[in-house]
Amino acid sequence: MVVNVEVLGKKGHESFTQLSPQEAEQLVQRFLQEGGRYWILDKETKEKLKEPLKLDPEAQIILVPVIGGG
Amino acid sequence: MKTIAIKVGEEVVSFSFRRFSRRVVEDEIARINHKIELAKKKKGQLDIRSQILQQEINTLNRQLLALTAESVKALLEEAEREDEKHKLERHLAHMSAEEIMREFFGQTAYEEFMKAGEYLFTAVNGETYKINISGTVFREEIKENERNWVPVCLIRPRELPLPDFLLAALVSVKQQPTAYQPVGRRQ
Repeated sequence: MVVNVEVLGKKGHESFTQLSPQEAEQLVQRFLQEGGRYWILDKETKEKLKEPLKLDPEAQIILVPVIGGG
Repeated sequence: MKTIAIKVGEEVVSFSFRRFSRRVVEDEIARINHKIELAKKKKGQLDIRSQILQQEINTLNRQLLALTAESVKALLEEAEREDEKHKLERHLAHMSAEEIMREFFGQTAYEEFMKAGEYLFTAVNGETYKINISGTVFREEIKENERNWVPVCLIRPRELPLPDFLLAALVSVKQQPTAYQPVGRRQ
């Protein structure tokens, strides 16, 4: 049961490894609550994950910042 | 013409007058007094200017001394070390960003992207876009059987390394294409 989360952002790259699915979900929530806007993607399929997150025990996810547009 | 020479202390002062009379001598005395007054006034102004210039020189000398002090050298070395550290951090962030992009695109697609300088993708609404290696995203527009690439408006955050921005721009446009309008056009 290992979930890895990678975050791309202003602070550079942050990797969080060896998490349980619940820990990973909480971590993602924390990033979103801090005001960041991210696409939450499955690193393997490149697909966007639906919220609320229900992660697989082997999920590899990546948080990619949402780019503003006009 | 009348020339007179009068000994004043150790010096001899001479005057020449066309006409020598009391009136002419009094006029000459008045003229000399006036010139003395003017010269004194001018000297006063020069003294003030001289004082100001001296103060300026003193200030500049103090600044020079301060900037050449050992403590400044130490501060400069510290700043240079910080700068080097930031450069290294930026380099590592860039490398890491490239690695993620390579992983995300897949090795072959990534190499093709780098070689061609652009990458075509289809957004969730079925429209075709392309992104170039500078991070500009274009939307395909077909008019009268002619294919045009119209740049769309994206705001690049300053802190994001280019490879991260490329990935974020690609994902953002792909997932939410309607949020990015062609440059110069608004809906």
